[in-house]
Amino acid sequence: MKISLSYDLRVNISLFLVSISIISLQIVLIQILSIVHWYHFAYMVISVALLGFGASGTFISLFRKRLIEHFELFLPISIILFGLSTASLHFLSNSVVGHFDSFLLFRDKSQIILLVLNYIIFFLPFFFGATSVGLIFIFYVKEIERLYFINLVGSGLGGIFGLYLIWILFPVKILSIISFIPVIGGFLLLPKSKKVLISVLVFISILVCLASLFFTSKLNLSEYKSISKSLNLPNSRIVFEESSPYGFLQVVSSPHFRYAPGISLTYDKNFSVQKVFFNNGDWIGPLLNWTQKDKHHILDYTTNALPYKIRDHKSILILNSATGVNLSHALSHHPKKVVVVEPNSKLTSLLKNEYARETDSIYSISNVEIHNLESRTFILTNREKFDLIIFPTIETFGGSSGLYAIRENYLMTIESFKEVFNSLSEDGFITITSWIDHPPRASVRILSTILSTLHETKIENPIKHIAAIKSWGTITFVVKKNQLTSSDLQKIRLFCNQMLFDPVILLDMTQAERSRFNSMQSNLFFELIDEVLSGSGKIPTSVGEDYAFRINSTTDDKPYFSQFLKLTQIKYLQNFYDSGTIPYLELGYLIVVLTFFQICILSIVLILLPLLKFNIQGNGKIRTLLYFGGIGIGYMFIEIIFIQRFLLYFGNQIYSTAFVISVLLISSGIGSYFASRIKLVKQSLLKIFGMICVLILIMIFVLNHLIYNTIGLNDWIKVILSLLIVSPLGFFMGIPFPTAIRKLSIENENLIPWAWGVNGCTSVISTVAATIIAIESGYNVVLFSAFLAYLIGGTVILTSK
Amino acid sequence: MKLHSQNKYPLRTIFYSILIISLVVSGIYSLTEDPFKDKRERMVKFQIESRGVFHKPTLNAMRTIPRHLFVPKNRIDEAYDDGPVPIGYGQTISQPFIVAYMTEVIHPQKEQKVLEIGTGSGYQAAVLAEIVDSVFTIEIITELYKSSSEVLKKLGYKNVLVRNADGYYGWEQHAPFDGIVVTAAAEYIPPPLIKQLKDGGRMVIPIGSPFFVQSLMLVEKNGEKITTENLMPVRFVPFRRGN
Repeated sequence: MKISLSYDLRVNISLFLVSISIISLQIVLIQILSIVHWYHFAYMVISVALLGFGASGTFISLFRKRLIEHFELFLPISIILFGLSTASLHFLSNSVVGHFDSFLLFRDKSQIILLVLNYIIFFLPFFFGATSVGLIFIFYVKEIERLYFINLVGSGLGGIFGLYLIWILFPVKILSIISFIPVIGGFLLLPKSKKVLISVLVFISILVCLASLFFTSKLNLSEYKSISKSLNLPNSRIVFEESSPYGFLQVVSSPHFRYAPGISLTYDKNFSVQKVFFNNGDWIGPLLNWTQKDKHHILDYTTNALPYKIRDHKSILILNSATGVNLSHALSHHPKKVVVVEPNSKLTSLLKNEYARETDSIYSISNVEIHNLESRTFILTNREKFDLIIFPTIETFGGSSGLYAIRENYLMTIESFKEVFNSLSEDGFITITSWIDHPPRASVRILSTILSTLHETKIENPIKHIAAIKSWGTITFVVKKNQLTSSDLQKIRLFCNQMLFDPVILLDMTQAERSRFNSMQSNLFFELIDEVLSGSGKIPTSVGEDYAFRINSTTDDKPYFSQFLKLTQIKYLQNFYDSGTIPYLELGYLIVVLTFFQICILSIVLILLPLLKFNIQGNGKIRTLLYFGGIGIGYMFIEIIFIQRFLLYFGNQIYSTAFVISVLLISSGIGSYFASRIKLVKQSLLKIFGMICVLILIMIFVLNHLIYNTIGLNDWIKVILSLLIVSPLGFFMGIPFPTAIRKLSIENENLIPWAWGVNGCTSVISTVAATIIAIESGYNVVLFSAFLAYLIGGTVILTSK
Repeated sequence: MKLHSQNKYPLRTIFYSILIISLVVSGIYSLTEDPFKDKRERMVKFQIESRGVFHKPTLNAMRTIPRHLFVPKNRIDEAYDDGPVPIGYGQTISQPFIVAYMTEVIHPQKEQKVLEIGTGSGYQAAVLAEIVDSVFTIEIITELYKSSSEVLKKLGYKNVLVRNADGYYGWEQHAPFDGIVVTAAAEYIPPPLIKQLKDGGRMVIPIGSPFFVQSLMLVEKNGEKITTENLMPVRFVPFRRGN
């Protein structure tokens, strides 16, 4: 078959468009599913859907001959079906299949069927997209390096494009926009034969795309999300909503909203608030009816007021300020300066501008300084000293049931606490409030982190620096740079008496004092607190091993503050509670583990077994599996490590993720382009693997130091440094895939789709595996595993003929 | 007259008569017999008594009340399961054990007046109504208010007064109350409810997500002194390995 050059060019353009669309779709779907359900469900559904990559390899393997024979026909059909399935995705999942509610998954068996149907709906676009890319790779295998370059650059730009769309459009509309792109790609490849058929298909696709653009239904959120519950209240309504990569921000107004977290039982006034902010359907905070003229603040009647009752503070730092409740509370105590750190710039902009009147313009007061950064990054770059540093309230009311278990939290690590402690003035205080959860987890972990910090900072008698009090629902810790004085202790006791609170940690305190007003039927909470106190922060073995949850302090290497589940204790917890309730206690990590097993089983059953059963001709399947599996795992592990580390470096989740994805993929693309010049001899390929392994080893020893020591530099210098860190590794990691495909095309062409499928599967599995390894063993182990994965790839080359 | 000749097949006649009679009797029996009675008995025995709730009036009430009438029709099969059941609007009918425990913990007695905040399905109100003199219950979501009022009316609970309002303010007109049961978790304890609690009265509030009530809070008022007790965890003893 002779194909004109212009056709080749059109194929290249289509490949580029498909590559852009696949990554954009992935980013947008995670956003949509996080809004409708929760992040961990988005994570699960998308992970399974991405198996479309692996399945495409199986599909091409099984029908290779026919697909290549009718390449000109099947390629545009596959690309158009990618667009069509993307355009109809929301409609199918929302209206045809029926409403799936992830919260009912472990309660209602019919939800499992809906989940499977959703898997299929989300799987289809990725399957068709990956089939299109795979077909092009196989058909033009001699030009694999250039095609892989186009694919990677397209994917890199797709990441940026997806994020850009989230800034300007509502998430569901974005699906329609993305669906147009592959349809155009398919249209470009209209074959001379069957032109009518393809034209009809294109026409239908355009109609569906337009219909999805103009007739999209609203997002059908789980009725158990905070915003859904709020909207059930009479006369409540959404008064503002806007999409951004930080999430889908909504403001709801209702006459029935109130805000008084764990308020003192002595308080007898009203505490209604008019508006509440939600991000991705989750509560982030209220808009308080507080003005600078008000004498009192609602938080003065909660345990949060503790540091203000001990002394006045001239300079205050508020971390993750959200809707500014802590800011107005701080201002009510007339400090000289307040520094506010909030990563969500959209939120602060809204509070400062659109809601200026309702916030009494507190964001524009001259002594209020705002920083839109991750709080940890601010702490790392800050040189100023503060009298009071306020952490955000930990956990949600009644516990978060592990909803945030797989979200990294670099603010609550020992390293972070040490930096915060060093940012205190001589008589300064740190304060942190948490909901008291049952069984106790977060509150005990906070204490463990505080004590580990003081212990590692070589503070003598840490107990003399800490105090904690509790109401019926909250516990507030204060940590003083110097020792607490007897006058401080007296003021704490006085405050407790006035508000009907009880001290939990206080020098010379009696056990009876702890339960004067708010008692607990079980002593477990106090036992854990006392055992942590006796162990200088490190959870004593007697508690750490015996307790059913992880409550030890977290580190930058394992920054999962909200992850308390011990995998080894699942069986025990099941016996203790019952299997039906465990998911509601520690959901997040359980979902990750569940996802891992699902994709492993699905990979074997749907992808690897069919390939083995149909007995693809040719030797070297195991070697292909090891090689492409190794480089698939290694690549994803490195990508995840870079995303994590640069989040801290740049202090902005969105930009750091976009930066890493783009730079890594584009530099790999350049590497792939360069790969065409590499001779397919063992020595050359071994050198490439050698370079990758050496660079990963350097990363293991240098990356963290480099990030912590240069974080305070100018942003542009940081960008250049990051380019120098990411792109060399990206460049070399872009070479092994196309060179091996080229080698296979010479030695055993039949194995190419198998290689494509294996690479797709292992890439998905490794994303989930990275989370599990990071939670269990830390990021350094993930990085080392990447090294091992590439070592396996190199060994395959070494042992080849 | 050949009387005998009119009935050629006496045995057959007897057989059919017996068959018809037994069908009629079993039909009447099945109409009067409650098919969920056994389920309720098992619920009380295995889900409630076995976990340490022995308050007789509560157990009797839960043996009597047709819980399946308080859940959506498509979830009747789950009505007596050991767990909460979704009733729409992000709400659930609480797990039977939680209902029993919350009832027992306020020490309800015959001549008492109890306020419930968050009628939901109406089941908790029905249980209370079987024990105390009068139950006042408030539901903020109109749809739930309507459906629960209807069920309670259908079951003939004349000592239950349902109101569609914001429970935060309580029901001052009928205050003070001997006991208050708050069935919807809130991150504050409404001051008006504390005011409307009788001296010596007890209020119970759940804390936790809708599907997993992890703990209950007991608020007691003794003159000016207000104390709370966290009855945690509701369902189990503190757990450590080996306990």
